[in-house]
Amino acid sequence: MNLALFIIFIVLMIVIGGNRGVMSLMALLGNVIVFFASIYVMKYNDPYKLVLIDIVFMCLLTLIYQNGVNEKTISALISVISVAVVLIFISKYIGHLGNMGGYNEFEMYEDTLMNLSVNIKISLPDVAVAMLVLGVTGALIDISVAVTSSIYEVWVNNKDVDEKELLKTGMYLGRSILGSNINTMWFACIGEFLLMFIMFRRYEYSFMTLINSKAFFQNLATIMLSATGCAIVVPVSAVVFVKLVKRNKA
Amino acid sequence: MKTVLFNKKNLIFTVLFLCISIIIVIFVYNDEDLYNKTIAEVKHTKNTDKFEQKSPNMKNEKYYTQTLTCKVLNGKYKGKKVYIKNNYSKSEVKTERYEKGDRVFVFLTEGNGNEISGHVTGLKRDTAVVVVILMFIYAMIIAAGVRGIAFVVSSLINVGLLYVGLDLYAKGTDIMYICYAFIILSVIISLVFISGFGKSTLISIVSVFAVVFITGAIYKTVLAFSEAPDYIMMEYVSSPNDLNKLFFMEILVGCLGAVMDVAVSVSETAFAILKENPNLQVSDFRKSMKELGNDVTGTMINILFYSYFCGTVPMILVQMKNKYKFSYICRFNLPFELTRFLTGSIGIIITIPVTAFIAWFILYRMKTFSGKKVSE
Repeated sequence: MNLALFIIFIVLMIVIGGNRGVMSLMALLGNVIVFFASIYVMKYNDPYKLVLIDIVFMCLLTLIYQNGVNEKTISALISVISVAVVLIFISKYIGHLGNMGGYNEFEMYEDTLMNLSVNIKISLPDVAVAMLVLGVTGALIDISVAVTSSIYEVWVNNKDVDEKELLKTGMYLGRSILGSNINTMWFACIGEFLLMFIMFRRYEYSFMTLINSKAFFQNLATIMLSATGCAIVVPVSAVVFVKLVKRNKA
Repeated sequence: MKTVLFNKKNLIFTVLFLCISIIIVIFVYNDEDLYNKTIAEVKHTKNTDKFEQKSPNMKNEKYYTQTLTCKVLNGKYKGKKVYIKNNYSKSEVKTERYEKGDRVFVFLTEGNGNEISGHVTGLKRDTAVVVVILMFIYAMIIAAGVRGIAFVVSSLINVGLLYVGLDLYAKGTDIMYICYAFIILSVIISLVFISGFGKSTLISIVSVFAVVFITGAIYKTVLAFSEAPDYIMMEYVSSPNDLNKLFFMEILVGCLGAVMDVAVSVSETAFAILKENPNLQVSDFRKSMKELGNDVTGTMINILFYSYFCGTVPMILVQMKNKYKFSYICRFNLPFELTRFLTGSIGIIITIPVTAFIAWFILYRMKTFSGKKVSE
């Protein structure tokens, strides 16, 4: 069944998207490879180190390789990496506050996992944070590039525009792109929430039990932290780019 | 940089908002009297024991025993000091480690000599829930101002709709009807929030419905010609009688966000192009639509991929550590994520031509009809 869907997906992508569609497919393939390779290597390594390497690699691939070295990509690179690092610390703190890692109460009794040994020697709370940040990196890169290129357009056309005006342009564009990215994540998450809530209903969870449940917290924290990362990257890339451009000019 | 929060005009609003959020956090942190279950605060922790558990196919894992000195905050034993033992492993898969300051649910029993003993049943997470939601709201307001607030409100409405829907489901209404109603309402509300009332919003709404219909039809057709998936293997399975419907709905709702966004950007651009140049040739119109859509879809598909697959990683890791073959894991654990991802992506891709066609139909055709009427 998945094979049939996969074929339909590829065909539609090529027919509707044309050359650009093939390029998006390649980018997707790159992401899939990075994702599974990371899981494979995570068996042996510290998740944080690994995810930082991944982020730098993804940035180099999508920013530098696809768009070349210039002020736009350099400032996007700086802002994405710094936001990702900040997000790791925030998520680690929040994850710690609510014990985000590990099995939730439903996974604990799932048949497929029941008889597996849990002595895996990897800290699952760390894995949860690392995967969260890795998952949001693609969105961070897109938002950052969109913001810096919109400022760049304004700046190239009129080099005397003052800083404030440039920042405003970046923030304005960032806003609409931010909204649509978060919306996508939000509904993808609601799909999952749907089943989880039905499960909560079946087990007659009260509201109090619900907000203290691990499964609920894991899903909620993932979407909220990802959205927060996307939101902070907008002002950060705007400021970094404007500062960089002004300094180079001076 | 002037944003809503740091604007001088809004200073009062900012201070008020800050105060309210601090009060909320403090309140939720200290709300143990609202609970029936016994809650205790961990005052002190001490690792008292360390041992290694052997497993057949792996190296040994370190386990620790910690003794928690807790103060009971509510219930029968309020104010009493209890010592609770807790085991945790280094990887914390099924166990949790607690630290000083954590508030935990405890199950207490009284022994013979007035000795209270017990165990921890879970962490009190409500403060963390509130903190993470507030952080999201702040980030949205700082980055997007008024639009950020609008977005937060529209997501809250969606959650409310979901809640009402599930209420009906619990009372026995068919999940299909509930979800169709949810899709229709949340699409209309979200799109009006994103782009206001207007012709381009109408185009987006109609196209989203069309796309959802076509995506569903594609999924159902493929399903009819292939082996049905084993729904029991799905995550969060509660009762087995309507799993196929639930999964179908999960797919449709999951791709809704991305579809709406692509539809909005396509219809707004189509509207602008046709307004500027009403006598545009169909071929030119088609070309510019194609250019536009491709910028958006790649990103959306990537986001969908990560949203669906990142949650499965811990499970994959545990299985890999148990020497399961990677191909086995993919075949038995990822098919549902894969189906959701592929169907969602198909939905995103077809949004461009569908929206473009509907925009063209509504704006261009309608105009020629009305134009004819005038000339007659």
